[in-house]
Amino acid sequence: MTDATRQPEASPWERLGAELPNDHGERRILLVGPARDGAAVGLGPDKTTGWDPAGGESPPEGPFDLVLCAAAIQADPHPANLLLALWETMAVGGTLLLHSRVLSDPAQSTYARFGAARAGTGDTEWLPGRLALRWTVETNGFDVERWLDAGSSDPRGEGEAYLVATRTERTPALVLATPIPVDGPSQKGDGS
Amino acid sequence: MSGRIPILYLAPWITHGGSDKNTIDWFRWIDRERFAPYLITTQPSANPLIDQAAPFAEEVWVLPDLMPAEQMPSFIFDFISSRRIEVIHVMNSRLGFDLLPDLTALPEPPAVVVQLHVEEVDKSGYVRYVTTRYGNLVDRFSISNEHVAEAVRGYGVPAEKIEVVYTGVDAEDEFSPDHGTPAEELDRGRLQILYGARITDQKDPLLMVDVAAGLRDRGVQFQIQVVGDGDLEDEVRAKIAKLRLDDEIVLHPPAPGLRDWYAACDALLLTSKFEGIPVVVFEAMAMGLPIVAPALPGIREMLPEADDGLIEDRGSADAYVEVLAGLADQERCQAVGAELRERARSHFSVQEMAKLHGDIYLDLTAGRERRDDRPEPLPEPLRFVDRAVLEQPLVSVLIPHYNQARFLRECLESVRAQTYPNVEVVVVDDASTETDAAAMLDEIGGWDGVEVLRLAANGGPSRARNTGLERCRGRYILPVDSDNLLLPDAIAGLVTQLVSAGEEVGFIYPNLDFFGNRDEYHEAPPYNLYTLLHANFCDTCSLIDRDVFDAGLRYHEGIHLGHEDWEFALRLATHGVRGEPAHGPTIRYRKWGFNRSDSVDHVGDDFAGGFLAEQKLFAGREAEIKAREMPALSVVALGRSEESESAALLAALARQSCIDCELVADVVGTAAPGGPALRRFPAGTPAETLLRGLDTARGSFVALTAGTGAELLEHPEFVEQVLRRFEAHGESVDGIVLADAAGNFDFCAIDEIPDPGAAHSVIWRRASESNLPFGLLADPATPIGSIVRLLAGAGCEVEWRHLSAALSSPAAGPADGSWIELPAAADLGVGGRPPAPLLPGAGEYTVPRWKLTPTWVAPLSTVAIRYRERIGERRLISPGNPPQHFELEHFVGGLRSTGVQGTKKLISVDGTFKALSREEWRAVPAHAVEIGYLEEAPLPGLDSVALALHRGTGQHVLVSLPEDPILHEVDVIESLGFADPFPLRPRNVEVQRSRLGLVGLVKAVDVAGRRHRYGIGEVPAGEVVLELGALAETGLQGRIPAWIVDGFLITDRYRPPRRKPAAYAALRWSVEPMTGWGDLGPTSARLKVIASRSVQSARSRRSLDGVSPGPQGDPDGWLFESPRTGLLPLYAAHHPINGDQLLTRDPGDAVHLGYLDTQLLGFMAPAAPLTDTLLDRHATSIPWARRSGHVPQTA
Repeated sequence: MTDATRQPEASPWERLGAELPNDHGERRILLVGPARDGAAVGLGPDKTTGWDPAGGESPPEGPFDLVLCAAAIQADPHPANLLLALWETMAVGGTLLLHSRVLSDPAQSTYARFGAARAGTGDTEWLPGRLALRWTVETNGFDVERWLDAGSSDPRGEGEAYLVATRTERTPALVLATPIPVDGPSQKGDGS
Repeated sequence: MSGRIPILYLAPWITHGGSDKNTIDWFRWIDRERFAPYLITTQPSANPLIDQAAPFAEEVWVLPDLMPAEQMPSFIFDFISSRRIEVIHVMNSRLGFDLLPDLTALPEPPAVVVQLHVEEVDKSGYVRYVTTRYGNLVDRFSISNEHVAEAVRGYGVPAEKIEVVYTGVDAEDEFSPDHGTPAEELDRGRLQILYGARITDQKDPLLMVDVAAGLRDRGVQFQIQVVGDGDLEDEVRAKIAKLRLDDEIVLHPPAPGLRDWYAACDALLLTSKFEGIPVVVFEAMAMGLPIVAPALPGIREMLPEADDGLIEDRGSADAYVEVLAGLADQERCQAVGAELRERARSHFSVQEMAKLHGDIYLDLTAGRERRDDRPEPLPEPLRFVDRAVLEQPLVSVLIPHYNQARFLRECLESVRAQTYPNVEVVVVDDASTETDAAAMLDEIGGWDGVEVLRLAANGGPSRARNTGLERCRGRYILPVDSDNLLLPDAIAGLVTQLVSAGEEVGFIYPNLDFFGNRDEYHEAPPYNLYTLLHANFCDTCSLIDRDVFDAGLRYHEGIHLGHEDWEFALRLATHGVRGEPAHGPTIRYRKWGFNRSDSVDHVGDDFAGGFLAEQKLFAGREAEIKAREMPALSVVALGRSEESESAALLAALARQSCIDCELVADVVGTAAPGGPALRRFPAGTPAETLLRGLDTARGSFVALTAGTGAELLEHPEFVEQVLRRFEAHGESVDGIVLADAAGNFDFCAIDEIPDPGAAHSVIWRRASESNLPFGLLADPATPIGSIVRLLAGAGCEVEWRHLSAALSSPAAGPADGSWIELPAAADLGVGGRPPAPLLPGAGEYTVPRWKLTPTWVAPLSTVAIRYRERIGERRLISPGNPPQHFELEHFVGGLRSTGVQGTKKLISVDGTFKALSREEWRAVPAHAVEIGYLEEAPLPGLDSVALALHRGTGQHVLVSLPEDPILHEVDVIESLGFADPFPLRPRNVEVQRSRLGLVGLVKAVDVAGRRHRYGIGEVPAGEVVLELGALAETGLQGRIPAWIVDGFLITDRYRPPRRKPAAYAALRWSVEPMTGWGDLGPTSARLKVIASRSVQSARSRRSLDGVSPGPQGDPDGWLFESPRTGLLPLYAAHHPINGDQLLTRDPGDAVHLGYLDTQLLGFMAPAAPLTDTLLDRHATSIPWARRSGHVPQTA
């Protein structure tokens, strides 16, 4: 997957950037996702650190006080692992500004769908319902403070969701650190 | 449709007649900017030209193809109601005419326009019928010519109600000489004369032959091209041959349109005895052809006054010859034609016809108020996306209390015993009057975590709860009645469930564990708003998200004796808030004494129809809600809609006349609000698509289409027609296959099943899946065909209909065996019975008199019933209950109960029946009995009522033709008149049942071998008697394999015995014609039979070896093991002497024919895949049988 094919629209970064406080002080800021240039959120490159999980790099050394994550969680094959990585690299009490595409049908809010990416790259895309997104964030050691926007919907029944969460001391409850081997779990032979 | 005036056009059919052409032109040219035209046809017909009108109609309903006649009136009224019809235009529809009196019962009757084209010579048409009987109920008569207008005035219709509107012709396009292509290469050296008329007496074609002879005698070089057919065709051909005019007169079959014939010919000839306004004259004029026609009143109006072509002496061949001979001059011919064409353009245009009709409709509807039926918009929905999953927020238990102090402590203790750690209690005393209340309230007021509020005046539980809500601080609120008890884990369980519920779920409602006077557990059903509209299942003791109350919602304080929890749940629903049933027991519900809820139910107060209806919470939205919650029909599209196609598909969905449906499809977009529902699913492989689509569908019927759904929904009436069709069937039909059978109009029943590959959609009743032993299976490669095979092969009734659909790949070939199991039907409703479809307008308009008879009868009618003596042969006619010792034999017909013009008085007198003309009515003998009034004219749909002589009794009887059951016992003397059949016809819609998946069982008689032979899937040798039924072609659970071996049917558990007959039995059978037949047949014949039987029994004793045939190879078919509605039993028996096998559906047959050991083999489907009929084709002699066919033909 290349940045060119995953180039998000400008709006998610702009939307998240609009939430940044005017005075950042000494806070360390991490931008997560494609096109994670500080300019995208109106900050100079020296003010932020960028990380694209799809690039295969390890997360930058923390702790970060503020993380802006746009168009990344939906593209990650292990969304919970991405949140775990953010939790590990953030300071307790740090703020996560998160964007994701979601299923906007209220009847599907507790479900999530892995499907072919709309871009037609052959990659999969994680599309959670709004509540599924919230619960995934909460069970990974964050408290959701508020939604910035959870209401949009396009003709495909998908929309953009933005939320603000706080990194807690709570240990992530949903850890899928070890992907299931391709040949499947070992068979139990003892009848247990 | 908004702003346009809805017009219902009622026609009998659309065929090749002139009035039909006018119907087509009316639809083509009516101003669709101002009017919304709908078409309903009311009489059986193939409707060959309906497709010419259909594209211009909002909807097309061919009623005889959808429902029995008795259902048509109520359907038409539903239609008027649901489409807000403002004008009914009736053109030759007798049902339409006879419905006019019923229309007066409507609160807002539509304006009525009756269009009349022709007055028959004997006045047997509709002009006299409708003017004299219903003239005052008609707002305007549209009359095709002055001549008929004069007749209408003569029947007493005021002049101001009459408009002459010529049918006209489209001279600019359809009938422009520039656009015609000559139909045939004709000899241009001769004058080509077109005779475009039916070959019937009215047209007087024999005179045409005389004209031809005259022209030949005059030496004119000519040919007459006759285009049409009719009952005089043989006579005409004979006369042509006799006069040796074969070269001059050429007969052609009828053509759907004559434009290309006009283009090929030079002049038009008519010789009719009478006409209204012949369309061919308009058309020929427009095409520039001179007209030579009799000067009948209608034709005279069309042609210029001084036109030479008008023949005053209609019957004079010479007069026609004279004019036609003049037209042999080509220049003159063209000049006359040009003049006529100009006249057609200036005087008789279809555009003018449409405009004049439009003016009539505008005039009649001026000042009408149009109702805006759009429901009020609902509030913005509440969404619950802020519930934290890992917290245990405060829960407020809210307890209204009134004079229940003795139970309150127990209630509070159950709250204090909760395992959930974060609970507060607010008790609101509603001004209790009992003495122990104050002390109890004082006591609990001191408890930790309990707040007590005391109201000064009693205001009911709603007010108490609302007051307490102001003090509740909890994130969730749990109202508990003071006499009920919470189970210890109740709050913990409810909170866990609510925080992990969907964003539409605002409350968790309880299951009820009754104690006290009752001891039972009531599990609450899943939340369904449509069900909730009709019954409450959301008890007060529900855990409710505080956001609901923060949004300002409260309990209704106006309810004193009622279900405030029901009202509250519905009010929440108006804000998009749904509930969810608790996962387990949470509350113990005390039944002590007679509580409020009991009182409401006891007094029979219709809370839903009364108080709730007054709240108008969902007024006008019931169908919309049903579509979303439990639709009648799911249209499941296996084809994916591209983004570019989606908008059109969703627009078509929104245009459906019946909202009670959902589209289940991979489509981009959302459904229009207020219309049918849309459920999207992602398509995948064929198997995935099939599985996901059916898993998503919730309808009680499913329409599975290989296309995108657009091929079905592009017809706005599709959903309603499907549901009406199933409704008309009752539950006797399980499915409909839709196939592209070109040449038919859409959704019509088709006579011949096309290639199964043409099937593109299948619709079935999901409840029928219970007939499928392995459930619903399908082959994803051929989903439509495999489901049709499965349904039909399981004995389900599946009919075939045409619907055009251009699909790129066949949807129904032979299955390849890779069947998959499909999801079972979801919740079908209470007790597995789905709620009735919400059909548009159903029952809104009705007529009280309809309730008085089991089926609709024409106005002022009485039904003449023939009764027969129970013991004896006497018969009599009566309109009412039978006299003592008589029983009903036949409904002779629906007669008019009052005498009007065009009827004859039917009387019974002196042992016979007479029909008296109007002049004789006053001279009826005093002892005569009046029965009613018969129609004089054989109007469409009427039966003939005749006087007949009963051969057995010599009695005069009244019979109806053609379906009176005693016709074979009588000699018809004379027809007395005509009457409606009762019940009306058609009584059923003739349809073709599916035979995919079925193999026929055919019975034949091998006369030479003196035995029966049977075939499964093939016709056996011998004389075919009938097809007994059909076996399944595949073996599934619950089926019995069957084989045909040497013409015998055997199963895995039945073999026909082949025992050698005992000598005594053989002898007794041989002589039976003498010993057991009584006086049946002459002695000589009986002796012949004895000889024959003796030979046969001797042969049997030699040939039968006691070895029964065994199965060979794969089974030929499979019988059904268990009986089911619609299946036929199959019995087997064997002949004691010759070992012949008898298979029959009636065990009595075996006894009757002297066969033994009757056994039930299994059950068959009532289909006839091989011979098309389950009826006996002809009687076949069965010489070895005891009773039937025992007398040789020579005797």
